[in-house]
Amino acid sequence: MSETESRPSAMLAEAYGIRLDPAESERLDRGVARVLGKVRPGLLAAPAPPAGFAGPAPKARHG
Amino acid sequence: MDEILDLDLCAAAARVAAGAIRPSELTEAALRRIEGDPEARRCFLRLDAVQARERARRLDAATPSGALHGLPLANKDLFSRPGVTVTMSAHPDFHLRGGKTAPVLAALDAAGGVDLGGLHLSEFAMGPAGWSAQYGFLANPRDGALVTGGSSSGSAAAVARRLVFGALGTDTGGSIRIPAAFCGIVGLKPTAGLLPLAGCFPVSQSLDTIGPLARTVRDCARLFDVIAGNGGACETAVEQPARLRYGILDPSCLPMPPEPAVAAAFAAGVARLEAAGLPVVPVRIDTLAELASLCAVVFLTEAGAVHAHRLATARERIGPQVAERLLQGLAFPGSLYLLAREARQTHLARLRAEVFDKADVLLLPTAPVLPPRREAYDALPDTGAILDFNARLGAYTPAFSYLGVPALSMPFGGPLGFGLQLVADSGREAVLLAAARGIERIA
Repeated sequence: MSETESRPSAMLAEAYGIRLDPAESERLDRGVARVLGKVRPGLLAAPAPPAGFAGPAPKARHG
Repeated sequence: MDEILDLDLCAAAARVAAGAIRPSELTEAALRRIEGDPEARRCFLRLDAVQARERARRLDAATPSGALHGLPLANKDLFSRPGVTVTMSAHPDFHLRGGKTAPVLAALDAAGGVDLGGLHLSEFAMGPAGWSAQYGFLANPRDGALVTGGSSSGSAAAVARRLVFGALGTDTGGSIRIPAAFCGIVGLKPTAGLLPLAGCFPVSQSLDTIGPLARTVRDCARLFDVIAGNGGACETAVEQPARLRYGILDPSCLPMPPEPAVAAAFAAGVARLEAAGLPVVPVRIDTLAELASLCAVVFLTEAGAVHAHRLATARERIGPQVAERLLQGLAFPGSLYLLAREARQTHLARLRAEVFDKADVLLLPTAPVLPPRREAYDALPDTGAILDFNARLGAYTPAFSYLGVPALSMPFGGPLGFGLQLVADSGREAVLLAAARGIERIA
């Protein structure tokens, strides 16, 4: 997939048939990128373990 | 005669219960006030005068028993009632016909409320300024040149204008708290998932909450008790003095700097709490900006899905500000949405450790700005500029929507439109309201 095709505006056209004009596309792509940039630290906060698990296992000791 | 509308909800209910005034007299007074002023009338997208009069007459003949017996109320025009046209403040092609009565409206009915109709809101309940492409802005009741805030614009304006004793709104990222602040009243966003959302047009299924707006904390407590069906527990809590710890957010943790007038009002408010001897503890939480962005991912992804068909087939009938945000939501990767939802528990645990282990409630301003002038929007060059401008209005509320915790906005001195935001841990509405009542007593 080319860089252009991987843009959110191109994905909307592909997936939903929503076609934006160039100015709208640029604004959307910029807007999505801006949110993605802001959200990264919060997303990568150490996640809670899946339901039913207590947490990471202790490191196995070898030898 | 119409001065009866200037009483707060609990005082008016007491007058009705004592037989000093009849429900139909109250309803007629409210309808006179609404129909006698074009700006008051604009608060209602649907005024159900005939049904309200019939209902009030029936209540005249009944023995007052419910907590809201005979009180004129109204609700954001998002809720279903059989046969009623619900606008969501959207293009007429998108209006819906109600099916069953929404459970929250049924609860108000059962308590004896008189529903006057559907109130103005931001289009599809999206937008912190209170603007709709179909119905424009409402005038702020305190100063007509200012916006009301949104998205529960009509709910806040109708209560502040004393057209009704209370109103329901919805809050997905700040939509009860921001208009409550800008219009100088009290608005409560309950814990997410606590109240049934059936019959309420959705914005974001996991973040949507339904809550009351009213003139006093006690009025809000009564309305919340009714819709939550908890037997008056919150109203009882607000009437009992409680020794609660107020956690004051260090201003350096705010996601963006407040206007000087907001910063000064918050600092003066904290000083008043200290002077009154309330237990005040400093607290920090450094992730509010990230939490607001996570809220945007969940909010917009879910809202984009709600509106995908409209976006694909009739985008030109959606206002550009709303359409642009919905398109963003539709374009976020699925993994991003799932990770944002999964991260919530971790961030909630952090909030508990950093704030609620030290304090019962967290205090911060409701918004970094005072209500902007309506004409300020005319000067903005394009949709992107409007969205940037609006982002400031809604900077301090979405973190708590994302975490699902209850939050409330109330006036507390300062300039017109300044709101104090209180936040409590999940399910602790009684504590939140009791803390707010403690502040109200000082005010």
